[in-house]
Amino acid sequence: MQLVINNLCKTYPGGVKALDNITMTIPKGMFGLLGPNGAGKSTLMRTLATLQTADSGSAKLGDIDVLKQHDEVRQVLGYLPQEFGVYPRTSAVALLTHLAALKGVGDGVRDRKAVVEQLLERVNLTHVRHKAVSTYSGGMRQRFGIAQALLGDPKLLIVDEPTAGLDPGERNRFYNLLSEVGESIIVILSTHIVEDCKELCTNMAIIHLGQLLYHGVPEQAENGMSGKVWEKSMSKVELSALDPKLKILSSKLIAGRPVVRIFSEWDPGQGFHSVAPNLEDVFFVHLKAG
Amino acid sequence: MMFGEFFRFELQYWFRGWMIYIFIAIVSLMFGLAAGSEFVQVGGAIGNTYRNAPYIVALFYATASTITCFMAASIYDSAASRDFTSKMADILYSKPLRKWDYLLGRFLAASVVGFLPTLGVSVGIGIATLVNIGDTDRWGPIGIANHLLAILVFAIPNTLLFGAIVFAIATVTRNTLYSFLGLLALIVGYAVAQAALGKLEFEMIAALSDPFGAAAFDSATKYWTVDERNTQSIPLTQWLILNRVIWLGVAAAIFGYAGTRFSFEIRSKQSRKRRQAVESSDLGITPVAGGPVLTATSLPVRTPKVRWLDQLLSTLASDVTSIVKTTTYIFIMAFAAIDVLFGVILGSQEFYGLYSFPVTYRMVEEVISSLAIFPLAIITYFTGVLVWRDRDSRIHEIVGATPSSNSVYAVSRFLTMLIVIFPILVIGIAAGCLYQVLQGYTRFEFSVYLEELMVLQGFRFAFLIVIGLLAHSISPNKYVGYAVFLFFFVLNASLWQWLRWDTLLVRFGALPRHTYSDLYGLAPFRPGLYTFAAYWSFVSMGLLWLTAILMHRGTPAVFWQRFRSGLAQSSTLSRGFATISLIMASGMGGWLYYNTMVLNELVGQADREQRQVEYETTYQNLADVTQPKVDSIKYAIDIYPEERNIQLQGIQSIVNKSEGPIEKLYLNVAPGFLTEIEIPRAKLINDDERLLMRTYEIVPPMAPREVLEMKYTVRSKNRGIENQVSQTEIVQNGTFFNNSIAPHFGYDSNRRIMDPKRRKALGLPEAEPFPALVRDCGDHCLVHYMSNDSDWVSVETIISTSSDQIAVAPGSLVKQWQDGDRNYFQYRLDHRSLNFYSFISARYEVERSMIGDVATEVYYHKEHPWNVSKMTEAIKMTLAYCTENFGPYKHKQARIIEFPRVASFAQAFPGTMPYSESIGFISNLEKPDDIDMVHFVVAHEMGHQWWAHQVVGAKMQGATLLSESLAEYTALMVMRRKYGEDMMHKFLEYEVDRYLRDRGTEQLKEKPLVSVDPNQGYIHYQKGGIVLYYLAEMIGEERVNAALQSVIQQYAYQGPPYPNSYVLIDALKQHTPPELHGLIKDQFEEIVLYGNRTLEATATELPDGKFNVKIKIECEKFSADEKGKETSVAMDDWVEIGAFTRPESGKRYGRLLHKERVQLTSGTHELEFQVQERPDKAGIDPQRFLIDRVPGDNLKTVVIGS
Repeated sequence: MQLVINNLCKTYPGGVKALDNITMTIPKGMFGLLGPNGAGKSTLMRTLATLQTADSGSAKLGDIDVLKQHDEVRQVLGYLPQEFGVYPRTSAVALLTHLAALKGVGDGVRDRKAVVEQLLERVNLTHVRHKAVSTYSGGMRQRFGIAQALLGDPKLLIVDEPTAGLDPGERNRFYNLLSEVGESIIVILSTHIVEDCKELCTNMAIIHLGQLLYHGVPEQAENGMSGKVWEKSMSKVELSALDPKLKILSSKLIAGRPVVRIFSEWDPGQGFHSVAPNLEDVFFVHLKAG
Repeated sequence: MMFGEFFRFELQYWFRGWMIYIFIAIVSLMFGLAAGSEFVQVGGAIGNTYRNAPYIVALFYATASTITCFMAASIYDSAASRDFTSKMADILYSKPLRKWDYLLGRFLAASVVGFLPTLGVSVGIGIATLVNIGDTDRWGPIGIANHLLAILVFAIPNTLLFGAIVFAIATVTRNTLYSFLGLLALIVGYAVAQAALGKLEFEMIAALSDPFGAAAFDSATKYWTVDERNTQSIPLTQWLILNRVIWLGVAAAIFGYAGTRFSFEIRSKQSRKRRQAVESSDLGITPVAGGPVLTATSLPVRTPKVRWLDQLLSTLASDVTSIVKTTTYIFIMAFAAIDVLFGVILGSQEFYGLYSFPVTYRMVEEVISSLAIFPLAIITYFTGVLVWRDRDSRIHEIVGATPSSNSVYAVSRFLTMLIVIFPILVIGIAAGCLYQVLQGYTRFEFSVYLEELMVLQGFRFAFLIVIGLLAHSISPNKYVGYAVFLFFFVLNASLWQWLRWDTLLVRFGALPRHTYSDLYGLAPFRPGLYTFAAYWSFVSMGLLWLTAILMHRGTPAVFWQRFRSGLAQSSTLSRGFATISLIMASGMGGWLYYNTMVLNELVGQADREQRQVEYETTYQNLADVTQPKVDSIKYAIDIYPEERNIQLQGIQSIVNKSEGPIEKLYLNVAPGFLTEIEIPRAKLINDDERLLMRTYEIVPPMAPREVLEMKYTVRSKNRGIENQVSQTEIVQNGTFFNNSIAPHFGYDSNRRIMDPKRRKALGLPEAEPFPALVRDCGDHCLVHYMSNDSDWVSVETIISTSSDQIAVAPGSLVKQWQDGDRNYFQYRLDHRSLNFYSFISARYEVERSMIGDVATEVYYHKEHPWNVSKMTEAIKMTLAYCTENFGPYKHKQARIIEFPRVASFAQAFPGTMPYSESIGFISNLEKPDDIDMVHFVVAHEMGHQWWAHQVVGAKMQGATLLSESLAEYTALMVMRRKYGEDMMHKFLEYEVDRYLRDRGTEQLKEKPLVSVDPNQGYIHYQKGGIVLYYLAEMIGEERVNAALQSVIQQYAYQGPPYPNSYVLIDALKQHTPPELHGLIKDQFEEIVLYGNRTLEATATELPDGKFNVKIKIECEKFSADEKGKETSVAMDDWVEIGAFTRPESGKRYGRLLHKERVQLTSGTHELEFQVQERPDKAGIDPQRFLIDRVPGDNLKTVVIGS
């Protein structure tokens, strides 16, 4: 089963084009959706999660028309929104049991509770399962979020910027969990952190201002740019005097000195040396081109 | 300058927002409408005063506080807690602030802002005045000074008081909820206290304890006449000033307390600790990477199966828990319980401080009236909370992405609201039962509680819930949702009335009115109630479906988008549901339309008025056209209680008693009945079905003294369901109708519109209810005021009803038999009587006894036996008193008959006194100190057997002096004979209070007793009773009775011509010494009030143990005109002075130690007298015989010196 998106468009009242003719195919496995803030990632994901309508185009999950057959989509969907809250004064067990009932998981209350307990154990929340979710820390809350998304063995799992606000350890654990489930189903992961994509995803897409800029396999993207990325460490004075014709990809401070990476088909000279391209370079190349 | 900084900042904050302007607009609109229209009332109807009179301005300001205090509260609360809720406190409180600068700056600025909405009163009244400029009849000048005074006395102190309370709670608790609950508690407490202090005795406590000052204002102005209301500014009485000082002091104390408690410390440590605890435990158990992690495949694989019912139950549980766990809900429940308990206890109190037995329908009514606000509040508030719950807690995307139909949420929310309202109704029932138990009343009628509260109220709430949910589903956010809901609520309550559309089919959720009675239950109302309930249920089902379609799911979307996508996503089942709802709703609607508008005629209020106008303009020229008079009647009446139908056949002889021929007959027929008339030689020439008037031509004309036999049949036509149940006089048990349903002759002036305001609005000329009083009667006195077309008639009746009921008609029971399954009774009047009597049928118990040759009978509902023997006794005592003092009783029976509470009066017919179940039969007379109103009312109605049924006044002003005032006098004398002077003292106090209050709200003109109008109850009952009692005190009861006896001797069963009120006055004068003739003139022919008071009272003990009492008194006498304008007149009257002993504990009045009549003139006097015992109170007019503008200051506590 794969998700086929064709010419999907969405314009908000006020004229912002959130989705501009997006066409792509998402196969089984982890799929990274990369883009800066405001690129249209969340609009795309909400549309796929039946929470928003598109103006035109289509999206098919196997035989299911995602834009029309909301109920059918929801039966195989797991969704972790970018931001979510919970009911106040409600424990993880109670809330998850309720969501399980809504998703049709479990046969009767007792069975449902059993499934919930297992799931909480899996995301390592067993010890706090009777505490109100609203008192959880960011990482715990996010694990609760993935637990609810996993309810009912979804065939399509959509997670929208799940690691925002998590510390590195939490982030790692979260990705471990995701990659486990990502082996057998479609997982769409949106992020603006390039490294996340590289580490996790077998396929990826870059979108910006509602447009699809790149769609493919992360390594291929990097390989396609080998020999074209150059780097130089320089002083701040040099940076300000840099040749305006150069295509600057990024400029980072390393030990207080700017390190500038540029894109060039041939050796730009001026002290730049060739480096191996990374996904971030790919991202910036597409961003600047688009 | 820090204070100024906070002050300025706070003001800017509010003036830049929109809230304050909205508040001002709301208050302006509300009070503008209250002043300018009849639809909105604040603090009672305006009546006959200028609609912008100083009194109204003051009243509005005093009442406005109950509304504006909530607006001010939100401002104060925000000023006090904004720094905490917006988390500014962390930043702000780390600065070096001075506490009192901070608090005072905030508080005073909030006071300025919080006070502004109240100004809407002036704005509203001002605009209404300008709009109506030129209408000088109803609008006076704008008196700026009156507005300023009202602001100073009410608006500013009340704002500060409630501000201080809210500000204090908010600064101390730092929680918005508590400040609102604090305020709510105060207001509920206030309402309860005011209701509890409703007895006259507690008036001053009530005046002082009212934080709004309204009770003190009311107490100072309750006897104000129209003229005073139009011209006087707020009277700064000591009580009002003291009240204001007390409550401003309370405000200062509360603010001071809060200030000392306040500190800049930030208190949220506790919750922070708890959060840390969770986090650290989390870190401790985190598994290291690479440790054992469960894999996806190790979870049991289950194919999810969506079950609608499971989803519903889980959502329902979650929704219900979310509401019942909130503090708001719990507090509302607690308040509801307190409020309903007080409501039930207080509600069983009637006039004259009397209590009733707690029959279940009374409990139900009290529960509904005291609880209604709570379900409304819950529905208004929590429908919003529920609809926006997912979005507010930001879980909407997770929930929205689950495979659950929108219908799950719509149904769950609907059921949740029903479930959370349910406990209120249970509380209501519990409170009712508890009160019944406490009163030792154990006839619990759970079926009545259940049907009235759970079912009928339940329907109302259910319909409203649907509207609440729909309002929020339509709206883009919560606030618009609330606005839409309230807008709908107000519109639905007022629009149809304004449009004068009377059909309930358009008024959402409306059920026909109903009146429960212990006699018939709800039987006559059930078909209409449940059919309308079904109709609105189907409409509500359709609307609930619409809320599901429009549900806010996922990302916010505009209305049409939600509607389109909701419709597109809806299942076949859902669309089927909608279709069925629509079909059923229109089917029921159509059927109801057919029933209420086709089968039955729906005559709306506007139409009814229009017909009255047409009747008056078309037929008033017939007022002086001679018509025959009815002389004797034979009735054959069949009552079919189960079908609510009657048939009345009459054969009556009509006589031309005039000197000329009668060519045309004009007959009024009763609305809602089918009437057939047969008169020999008469031809129907005009049948005005619209105005219910038939014109017959009689050829050859009816000659003088000619007698004809007229036949008629009147049939009721109970057909299907009516918009509002009419003919409630015909019911399954307790049918009670009078002979006015039979056709009657001539122009009937009672069918006119009498309300002066309506007359003016409809362009009719001013009208007096009765013709002007003329001293010398003759031609003006040819008809009496009870009917136009008869003098004294003889009546014979054969009446039948179902086999389990007893039917009663006027006169002695001649014969009784059964035929098939029907009971037959034959009655005959023993003496000619007025053509005014009733026919009754119900399942009665009867208590019978004999007094001489008069049979007393009390017909009562078997569950209301309590006061039956008291009634018999009252009949007996009155009969004895009247035959002794006035003259013989001409009937062979005296009956009291209980009838259902569709009307709540007692009425006297010849020998028969129907008495409503709601007064008297359920009065609780077990406390010996209470006024025995049952005895009083029976005595009054028995008094009518002489005063009305023997001597009846000519149809002109003053007629009711001869009937109502004399019946009242009779009752007072009978009461005095039974209960003694002390009880009368207490009773007369209520009577004076009632008279003084009611004259202030007179719509037309206050008349003196001699020319009282028939609708001026406060004059012919209260003033008439007080004045005759006073006269009996002054000249002696025997002399008054001798005068009355002479009237009876001359006029009993005589006429025409009929006597007028001068007959009584002349007779009284004859029996009064000449020096007191001035008193009769003052009391009967003028409107005179006194302003007597005692300034000082001292006493010294004499060697022989007696006391020498000295009093300093001030006398004043006023004469009032018909508009209540009073002018001081010279006083030279005989007035009593005297002293009381200290009351025994538990009693309010001491023994009268001394009374002495002295002649007093206007001004101050010092008087002395000696008493045998230690006096407690002394002064002028100790027994309050005179109508005194301020009754409370007649006596002063005696200061005993040496």
